[in-house]
Amino acid sequence: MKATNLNRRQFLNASARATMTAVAFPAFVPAAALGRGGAVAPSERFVMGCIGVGGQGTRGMAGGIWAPEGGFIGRPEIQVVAVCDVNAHNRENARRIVNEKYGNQDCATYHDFHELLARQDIQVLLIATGERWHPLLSLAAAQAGKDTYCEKPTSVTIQEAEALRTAIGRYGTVYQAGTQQRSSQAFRFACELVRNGYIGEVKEVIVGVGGPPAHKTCSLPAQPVPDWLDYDLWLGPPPWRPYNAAYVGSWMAYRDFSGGEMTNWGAHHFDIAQWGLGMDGSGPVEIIPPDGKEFPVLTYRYASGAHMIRDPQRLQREAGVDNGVMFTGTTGKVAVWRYALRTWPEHLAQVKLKPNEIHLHAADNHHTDFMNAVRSRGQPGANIDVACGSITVCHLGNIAYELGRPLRWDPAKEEFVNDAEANRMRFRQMRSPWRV
Amino acid sequence: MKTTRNHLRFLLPAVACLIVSAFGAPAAGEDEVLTQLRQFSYGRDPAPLTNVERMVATVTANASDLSARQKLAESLAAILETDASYEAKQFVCRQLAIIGTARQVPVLAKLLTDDQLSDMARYALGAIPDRAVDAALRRALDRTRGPTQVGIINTLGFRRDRAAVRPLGRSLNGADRAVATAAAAALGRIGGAEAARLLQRMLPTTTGDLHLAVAEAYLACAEGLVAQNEGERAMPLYWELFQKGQPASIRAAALRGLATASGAEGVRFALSSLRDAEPLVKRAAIGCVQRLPGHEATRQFAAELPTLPPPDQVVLLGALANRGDAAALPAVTAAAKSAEAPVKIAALEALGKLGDASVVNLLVSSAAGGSPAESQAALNSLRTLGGEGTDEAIARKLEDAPGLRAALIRVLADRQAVSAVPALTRTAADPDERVSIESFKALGQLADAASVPELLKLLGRVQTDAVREAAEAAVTEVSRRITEEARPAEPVLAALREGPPEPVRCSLLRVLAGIGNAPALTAVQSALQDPSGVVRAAAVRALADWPNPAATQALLDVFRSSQDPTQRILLLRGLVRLMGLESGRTPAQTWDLCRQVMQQARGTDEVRQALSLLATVSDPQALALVTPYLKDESVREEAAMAAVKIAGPLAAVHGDLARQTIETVLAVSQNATVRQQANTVLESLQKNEDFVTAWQLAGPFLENGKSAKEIFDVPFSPETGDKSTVWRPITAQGAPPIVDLMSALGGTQRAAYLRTWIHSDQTQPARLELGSDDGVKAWLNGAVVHANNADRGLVAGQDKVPVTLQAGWNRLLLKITQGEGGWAACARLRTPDGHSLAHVRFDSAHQETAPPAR
Repeated sequence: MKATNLNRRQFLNASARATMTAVAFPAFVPAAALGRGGAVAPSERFVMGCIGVGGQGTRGMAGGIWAPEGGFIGRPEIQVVAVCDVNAHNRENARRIVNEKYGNQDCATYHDFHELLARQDIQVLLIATGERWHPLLSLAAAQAGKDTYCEKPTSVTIQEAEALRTAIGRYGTVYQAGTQQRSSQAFRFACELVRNGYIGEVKEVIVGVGGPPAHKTCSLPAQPVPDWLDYDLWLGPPPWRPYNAAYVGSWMAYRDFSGGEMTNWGAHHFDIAQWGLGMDGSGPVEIIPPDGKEFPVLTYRYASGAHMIRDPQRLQREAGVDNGVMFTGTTGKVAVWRYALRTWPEHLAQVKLKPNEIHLHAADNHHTDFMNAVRSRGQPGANIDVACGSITVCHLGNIAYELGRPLRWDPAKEEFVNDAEANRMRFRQMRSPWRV
Repeated sequence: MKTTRNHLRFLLPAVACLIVSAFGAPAAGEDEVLTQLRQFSYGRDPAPLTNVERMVATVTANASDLSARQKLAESLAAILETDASYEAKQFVCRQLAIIGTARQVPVLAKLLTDDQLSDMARYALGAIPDRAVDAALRRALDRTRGPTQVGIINTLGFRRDRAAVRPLGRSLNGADRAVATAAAAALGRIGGAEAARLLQRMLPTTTGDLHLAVAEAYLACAEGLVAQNEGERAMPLYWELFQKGQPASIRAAALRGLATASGAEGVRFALSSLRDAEPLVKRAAIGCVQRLPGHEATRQFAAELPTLPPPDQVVLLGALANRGDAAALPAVTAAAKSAEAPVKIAALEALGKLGDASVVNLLVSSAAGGSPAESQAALNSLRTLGGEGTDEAIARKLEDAPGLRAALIRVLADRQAVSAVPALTRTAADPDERVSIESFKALGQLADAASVPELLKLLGRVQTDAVREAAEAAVTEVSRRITEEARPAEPVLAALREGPPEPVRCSLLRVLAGIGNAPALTAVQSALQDPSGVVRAAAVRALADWPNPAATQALLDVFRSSQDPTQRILLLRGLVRLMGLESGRTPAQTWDLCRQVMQQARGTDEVRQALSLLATVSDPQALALVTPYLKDESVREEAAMAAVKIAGPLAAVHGDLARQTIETVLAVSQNATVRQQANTVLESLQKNEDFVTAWQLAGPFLENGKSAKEIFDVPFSPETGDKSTVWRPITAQGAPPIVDLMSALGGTQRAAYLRTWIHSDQTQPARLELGSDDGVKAWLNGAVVHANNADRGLVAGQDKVPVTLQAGWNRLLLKITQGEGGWAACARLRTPDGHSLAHVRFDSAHQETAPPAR
């Protein structure tokens, strides 16, 4: 390797002199970054681009149940300038919404994300495609130095999530996964009760979510590609197959595109389980698929001895809902779902934490939490370490279902223990030219 | 990148040969399955695929039987060497990604140069942990071009094949930029000195995306060195990438690398870059402030604070707060005295995360003497401040800061500062009413059973109504936390037995009403005989305010005997409220209570109250009692409101009665609110009309090991007309009316049946509108009219089926399957164009006369 002409001392000395002279220099971030209230001039707003503006993308951009203030375009500190989608209908609809909001015709449209990412003026991104695209787009955004709010699930495989984590760590951009339960008071409080020992030692977690996708492969007949869709770009990294409307309409049912409900709702509720167990960035040590005997449902074992099961029916019986999370400890229980919390004994719901107890990342709006991190350069609640750990738990369950036998997992090394066959399932080769 | 290289080839033939799935057919032998697989094409019966998937699942589930796995892998790989379809070969590659070994590498390697199948060959080869794969990929490198070559390079990089570095170096210098970019990325993944040398050589000569890829790969090489604890060797690489002229995102990443890899000097790198011209680099510098470890780093960053302009001090203070290291405390404390308001506020906020008892004085003085924003920031930080003895330190300040006393008491309450209870019992007697009220509020939260006697003493001494109210609330709140076994009302009853003055007796009765247990009720009932009229009135009010239905009968008894009109109205209001609470009463008991109240009601005001009581009872009898009052002008609007409130919930099961009632209300009422609510009920009736609400239910039915999809066509007894089937009534609830099978039966992978009879006065065409979660099959008069083996959530009318109703009774039978999650169904009959259907009625209890389903 060629020696570099490095004079670090010189660099530092020059820097020190610059410090001493204290000449005026621009602030780190736009004025909006300092949280200044009131109207923000467009020139001082964070400039945003949106990739993937179908149902969820439009809700995130322009308002929905988790963004009652009107999504990102409803925020005074944000200026959306471009939308990108391989579906022309979605693209035009999003452009209309943005232009109506701002009362101009300035919103640019792209069907190829490379063009949007190449824009230097765009600082923050909303990504809401299918998850087969999430890691590639988030990674490309990090390479371009852009902060990203990316809807869940984070990835289709374990390795993709890890690659994204490496990239985010490399570029130091802000990444927030769209697991908005991390910015919900009820979910946070449930986890705080668990983490502070109010239910004793955790013995069991019941997670109420659906299972893996219905179809491992694809066999549907070819149909003509509609003229409003760039199908090849829609398809992206998974193996090629001819266009069929069912793929575009129901991609979550196909293993090539998705982890099914295991990652759709699992990205939310397994994530809360991880949070409550204090296992962010880590995971279980054993995963046991249903065996019809001792383990009637998918079961995870943690090193602490706690078990976690996917059992919506039992959750229904015990908590009255089939979609949520329930922690059972030696002295009590807490169940949480959208949007309620139930405790046994009941009075636990009235607990107020003291300053010296464990307080989890406090946020009450997931978009606000993201923007706070963009301003402060700190970590949002669903940062890449959290997201990578939680989506891995979901993927581990799917791999156990697929292999049909118990698996041992090393959460530190992020590999199955002495199990080459399972380790293959951590990744998939992508269709050329895609890679992470 | 666009490619349509495969698409057109498949479109027409696949559509042409679409055939119906033979799902569930008996499994063929292995050879037959593989033969069928060879012919598979898109759109054909997927049974060969699912059969092979099962075979693969069987061998993977049995990890110890390697020979079975190897045999299957060989059989599948053999298909790749035949003239099998593209789809079959693609599918085989998927399976070999799971079970393939070194033995299948040669056959897969042949496909690497096939532009159609190369991606799938990599799909399989990439998963096989054998060096033969890498050699095969390297050989294919020179024999491919364009996207196929890019794919091979990606897989070589993914596998971190060190032997590929030199050939990749050649690709890096090639004319195809996509290939060169892929080669750069692969070299970055592989890493090492040789890869770094090749990349370094490209740095000055590349541009655009290729340059970004080269620079990123070079970063990855540096990271590889850091991971091997060779940070010093990584420094030159980072330094080179940090130079001006490199893309901003690369410089930002290089700064992070420099700061991390350079040990103690990292702090200086970060600090120096706080003033870089590139915003991305500045942001990276702030990120470094938050992540570089060590107290010394904290001190160095903190020491920089005074040298920065105020806006950057604000950002740095936030970053120091995020570090959570108390080593920054001296500098942050100094910043809290800054003349610049934003800096001061940021410092006060940071103290809340970093400080302890030692900064209580500073925060209290800032809260007392600062601007409103500073005061707020200081109080917020006092709420979150950690450390030992902090509660006590704040409690001590109650004495020193009279102007801030109320705010500090709120802080102590928010902190759950139980140790402050003695101090709060002192401030409860503060002459400042605000302080006294806040003290009682805090005591209500923080005090325990042992404090109740002291609180009662304080209650006995209060001078103003506002403070008395706060004191009563505090005693009530604390008493409610005492378990029933520990007799929560006992201290209050003991105080009452001592015969305190009239105002205190009244207070204690109100507290007893808050506690609301049986001894408290007995004491309040006794107080109805108190010699003091004021106390008796307080007892009546306490009964009217009782928090649970236990006092209902007592209220009714007093209401019967009371002659005081004001008191009677008060009691009626209490009754109305209690009747609205959850209770163990049967509907008959509820109805009887209402009837008694109506009988006792005197005069217009009381009738109005009684009508509002009736409004809480969803029963046709209640409607019958209310309707006559619609003709009484003095209470017409109250009767109308009650009628609407009763009719609303009744609509699902007594649609005709509800409609009649609403129409009457609309004819007589002039009140806009009443009319609006009546119209809402009417709209809902119209929207939900013709839904079947009364059904008979049979089930659950299941077969071991079979999924919901598989039992969809299994004929259980309701389909065969088996007389032993047990049917039970069930009512659809809600708007639209839905049968909640999950609540009724629960479980997964099963089916249930719903049936009812529809009488049509004439033969007429109709539309059966179904909603189901999950699948639904429908029979009308024994014939299957609809089958949808779906896995879905319910949407009313999601399936619309044309049917013909015969004159007379028609039997409707539904089979609803359940996979996982929700399980529900709904159905209604409309005209073929979706309007209300005339001349029909439903009866779920009609006698079975129809033939069994076919």
